[in-house]
Amino acid sequence: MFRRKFLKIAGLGAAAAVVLPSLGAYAVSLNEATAGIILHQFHFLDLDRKGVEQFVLDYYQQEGSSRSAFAHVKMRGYYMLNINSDQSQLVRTITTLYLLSTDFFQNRMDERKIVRYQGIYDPYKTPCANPFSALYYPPAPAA
Amino acid sequence: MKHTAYDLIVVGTGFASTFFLYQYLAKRPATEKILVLERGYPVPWAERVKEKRGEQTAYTGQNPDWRSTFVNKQPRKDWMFTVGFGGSSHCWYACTPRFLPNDFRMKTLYGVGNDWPVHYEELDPYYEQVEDIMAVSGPADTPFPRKKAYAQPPHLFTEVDKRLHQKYGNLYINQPTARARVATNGRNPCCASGVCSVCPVNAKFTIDNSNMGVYEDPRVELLTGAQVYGLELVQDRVRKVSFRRDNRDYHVAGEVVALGANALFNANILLNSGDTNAFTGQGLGEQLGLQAHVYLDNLENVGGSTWVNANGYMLYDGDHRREAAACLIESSNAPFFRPESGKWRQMASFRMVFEDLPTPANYVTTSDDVLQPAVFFGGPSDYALRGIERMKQQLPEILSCLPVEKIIYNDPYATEAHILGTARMGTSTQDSVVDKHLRHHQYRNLFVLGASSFTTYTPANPTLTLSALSLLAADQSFPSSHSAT
Repeated sequence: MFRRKFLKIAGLGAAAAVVLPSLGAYAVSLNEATAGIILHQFHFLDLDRKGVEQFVLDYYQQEGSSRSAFAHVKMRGYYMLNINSDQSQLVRTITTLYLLSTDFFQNRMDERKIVRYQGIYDPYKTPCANPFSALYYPPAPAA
Repeated sequence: MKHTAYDLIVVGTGFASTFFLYQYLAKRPATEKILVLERGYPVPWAERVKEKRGEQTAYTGQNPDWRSTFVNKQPRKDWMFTVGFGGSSHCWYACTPRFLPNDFRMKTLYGVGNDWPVHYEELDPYYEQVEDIMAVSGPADTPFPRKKAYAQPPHLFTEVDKRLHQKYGNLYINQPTARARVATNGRNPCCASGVCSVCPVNAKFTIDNSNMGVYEDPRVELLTGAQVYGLELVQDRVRKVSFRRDNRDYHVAGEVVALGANALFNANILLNSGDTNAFTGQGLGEQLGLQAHVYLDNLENVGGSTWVNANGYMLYDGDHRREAAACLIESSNAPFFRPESGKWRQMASFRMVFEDLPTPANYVTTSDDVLQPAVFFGGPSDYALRGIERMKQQLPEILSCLPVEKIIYNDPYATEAHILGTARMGTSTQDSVVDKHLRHHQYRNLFVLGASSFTTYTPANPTLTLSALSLLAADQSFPSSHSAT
């Protein structure tokens, strides 16, 4: 299984190394690519762009600087190829974290409002903030 | 140390050791001398939360990260655990389903793996005892037989859970869990924060908040910072335990010794000591899990009061286990959503957890450093991988009571954070390392506790069962001092 996965990843990496330069992937920074992925994923929302950029800065500061060169290439590739969260768990993880870090759920998912970044979502600073849990959607009282 | 020799020496302070000690103390006289050797140090819950917030505390760095404690020969495979007082009670997610009765009879029923030497019926009263101590929350009707109600009411279903429960009855239940539904015993109710390794509201059961009184007992001497690496084995008995503390080696005598480190370190200690049982260190394993995201047509999947609301058993037991692994379904309630306008929670997310079997490609050996086991992992078995394929074939039909638009499968996780095997349980040295009382077949005053002893790797979470096994072992191996006098 590891061998198969390694070959798959190695194949993707090799393909990325060949294809991405021709797509101009190296013209964008990691942060720009990550912000672009978020903006693409939520293209139907009015995102506070500076907030998106700040989120990306905060995200990578929290994640540390140990990311591999492959991870950089991957994010740029995802950006260039418009990969969304249905196609990549990494994209799902980052875009989910972004939206949880905004006022979107406090505004009850009102898509007409500007979505503003509020600081990285952290259940240790704000516990019980799961926006779909029974705390926010309590069961109907028994008849 | 207060003494040079002890009636009992216990290694580790996690679930396996603590529940063993709990039962042992209940049976033994006031004169008993017990030494507990713990390689790490205690860290209070509030300080753990501070660490998670990124704040420096006086406890920061006292206990090593799991990655630095062993030689991982397959770095793409994680083996997660927590070093320190209370062990992996400080990283578990407090899921406490029982095993099914058939999990203990895999060879007889399905011709795979081996049968456990202990049966469900024998373990039942010990399951009940652990569930009461942990104040487990759970439903009235379960796919495994129980004789009394859970201590706490069940957590709440989401809308999807309600529909699946309506269709499948006791094959789809509120997850039995030691994440509190209501405040109890110093713990707060779970509020679905979804980061249970260190619960931000102290809702889950840990050794620290257990109020079991084990480490406060005057018969127990707890020595922290003491890493055990070997045993002195003489004429089929353990005589002494060797450990290192502050860069000094110590050797202490014990009448009875109980190893309650995890499956990596129990094996390392046995192998360092010269244990030649053919199965020692062999068959390391765990379950295999992956996430399935299910998009729903116009069904809002809201509600739920905890991290995993429900367990589904529709793909678990049956004749398919002759060929393909059982699958336990966990209904996730982390803060996920569907990134589409107006459909934010028209989605469910299930973790599909597959059983596995011990295989020769996965094992533990010693390394150049007596303190560090070397861990080899060739991968999950074909049996587990066939379980995934079977699940993917059958899940659409199983979810046909829901308006499913699409199912997205992630790659398997690098770990389910369970470390199983390496000192498996059986009937003799021909098939195992320990007997049903977790006593080594050759060294009869040596217990090897915890998930090390698992014979096969059912998809259900291991902690409840390994804790019940510790109670059974202590209860059935030692006479009561009360009845003796």
